[in-house]
Amino acid sequence: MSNASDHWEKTKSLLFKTLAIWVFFSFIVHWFGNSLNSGSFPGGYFMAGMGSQIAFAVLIFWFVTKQGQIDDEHGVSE
Amino acid sequence: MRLEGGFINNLSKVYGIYTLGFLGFVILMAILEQVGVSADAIGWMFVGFTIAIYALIGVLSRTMESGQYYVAGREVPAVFNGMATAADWMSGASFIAMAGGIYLKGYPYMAFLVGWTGGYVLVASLLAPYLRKFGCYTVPDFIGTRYGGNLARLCAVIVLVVASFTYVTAQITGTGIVASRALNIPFNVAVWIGLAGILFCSMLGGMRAVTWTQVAQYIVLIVAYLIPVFWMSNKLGYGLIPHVAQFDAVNRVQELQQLHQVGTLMPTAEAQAAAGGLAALKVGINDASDSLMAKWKFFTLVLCMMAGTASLPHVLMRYFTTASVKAARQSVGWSLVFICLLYLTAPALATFTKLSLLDPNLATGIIGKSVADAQALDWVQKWSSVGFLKIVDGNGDGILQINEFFMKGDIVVLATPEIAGLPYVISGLVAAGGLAAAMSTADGLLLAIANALSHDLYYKIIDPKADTKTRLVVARMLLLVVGAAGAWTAAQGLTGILGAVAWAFCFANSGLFFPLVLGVWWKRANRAGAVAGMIGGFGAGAWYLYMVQFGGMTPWLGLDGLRFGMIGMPVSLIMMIVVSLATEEPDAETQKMVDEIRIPKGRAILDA
Repeated sequence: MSNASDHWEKTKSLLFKTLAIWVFFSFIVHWFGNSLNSGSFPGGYFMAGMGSQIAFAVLIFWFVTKQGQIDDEHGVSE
Repeated sequence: MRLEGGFINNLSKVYGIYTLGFLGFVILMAILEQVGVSADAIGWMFVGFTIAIYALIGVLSRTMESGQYYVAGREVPAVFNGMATAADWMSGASFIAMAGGIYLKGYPYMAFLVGWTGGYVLVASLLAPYLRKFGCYTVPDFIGTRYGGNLARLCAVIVLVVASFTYVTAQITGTGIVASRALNIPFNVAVWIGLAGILFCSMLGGMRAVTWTQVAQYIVLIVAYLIPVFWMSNKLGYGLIPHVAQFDAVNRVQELQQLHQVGTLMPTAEAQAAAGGLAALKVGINDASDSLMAKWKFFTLVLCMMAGTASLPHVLMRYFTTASVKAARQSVGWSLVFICLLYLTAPALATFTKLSLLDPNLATGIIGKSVADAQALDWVQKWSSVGFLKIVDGNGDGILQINEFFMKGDIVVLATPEIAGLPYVISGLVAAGGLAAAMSTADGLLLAIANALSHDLYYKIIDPKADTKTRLVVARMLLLVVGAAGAWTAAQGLTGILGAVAWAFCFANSGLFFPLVLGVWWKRANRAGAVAGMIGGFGAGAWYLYMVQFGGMTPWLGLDGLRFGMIGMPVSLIMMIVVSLATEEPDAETQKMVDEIRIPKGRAILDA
């Protein structure tokens, strides 16, 4: 496999992982919003108002680091 | 700025001094208030001082180079670009309307909070780095070059103009609301004053000027948003950090909801008629429903706002200004960090405001007390007189019940300092913050529109031989014309802030999301497919919005006017795939170009 196509395969695979985590925090966790609220801590409120947002920010920095590593490995970074 | 290299290298110092200067100004205003300067004068000074600073930055950043005018010389560091993007992004809707929406509509409204942040994951992973590598000046520039041909470029320009113009009208409206309140002037005059400030920031220096004013505006808006919430959390005795303290407040509000019968005590038809467009509190603070319909509505709103984030040109073009592809990616992360500073605070603000009004043990808790006492309060009179608030004693018992207190969501942010009994200086600060939020977004949007018209329509389609000077003169003329058109539309008072903002997101995602994403991620996508995707998606979305909003059609599956991207996007995707596959694949040169944008290394495709 050529360097370029290997680089793109790895990039795509990172994209799918990133999007899977994104789907979890965008949708799946909020499906259970009501159940998360059932304890003494308002968990559904927390996830919609703070939890998902923090997760997104962490996810982006994780993605940036991983993509940087892929670029470096294949010698295609600037 | 004459010391250009010096300026870029000293950004932290420059904006550090600026922040201290601004805090000093706030303290000065607080002292003036104590010695008896009137509230009106303080309001004027806050608005006047901040607009003067933005205008000064705008004038100092003037330029006649196209690279500076369109993409700020591609030298903006990731962190500062993140800050500018946050200001560009957080509009009047985020600053003024969001906490009010959470206050009045509860849990379902928090879909906006999720949608308006998660979209950045899509920006970082699907688009920003690739568009940066491409090296375009505008979003239609990418569409026009990737797919080739003036038709594709023209379609992108049209979608951009419709989406951004809808959005900018809402922002100029927001500027007008804040300025008219803070300065005590009529709304349709305030709109034009706001526009003058906006144009001062962008006219002379284009993207370069907008970048550096947006950083300054971010600092003002975030200080203005955070201070009242921290103050309230501590004043009410819930704790030092409102973000942590709010969960106890949520539990307390839930007790109070039982006391005041929130959700069961509905406004009578006569009372609601007397209150007109204002709303009483009808839902609980944290009622996540288990019904499928509620989940569907939550998810579709989240999805529309996310895809819209990743297709709105004024956001995407901010990532054209970084020094490298890697910096563009990092900058998306920083954008979200700076956005979260405000977004994570909005629910706390809504909760503490609700607590202030509902808790009978607090002096500010007017619900359940006498109507006459409530009507004697200064802030109730002030906001009633401008039609933001109304008390209707429906059952005539002289006691203010939850279903008798009507308000506009916007006052949760604008009036909270007064509701919670904070000094006036905080109200002035909040007004300056709201103005900064609306102005910074309006700047970015006006520039996106004017640049698309001047670069893509005029230079690339109408007169490719135009020299740089002519192009930049045309760009500025267009900025004036578009700005005036926006202010004129806003002065007609046609749209509420949030409705129009959600429409802009849906226009953008219906027309541009798939043509942009597939342009990078699917080599087989071709010109015919992209044109079909843009026209089909945008047309279907716009038709659906028209039918639901004005044509009296019953929404399909609960997809109302805020969610018409759910109609536009699938149509766009299907049309684009079907038409692309039915026509010839792109030529070798285009495929090679796609290969090149997929790696950070090497020259930009468009090296203008």
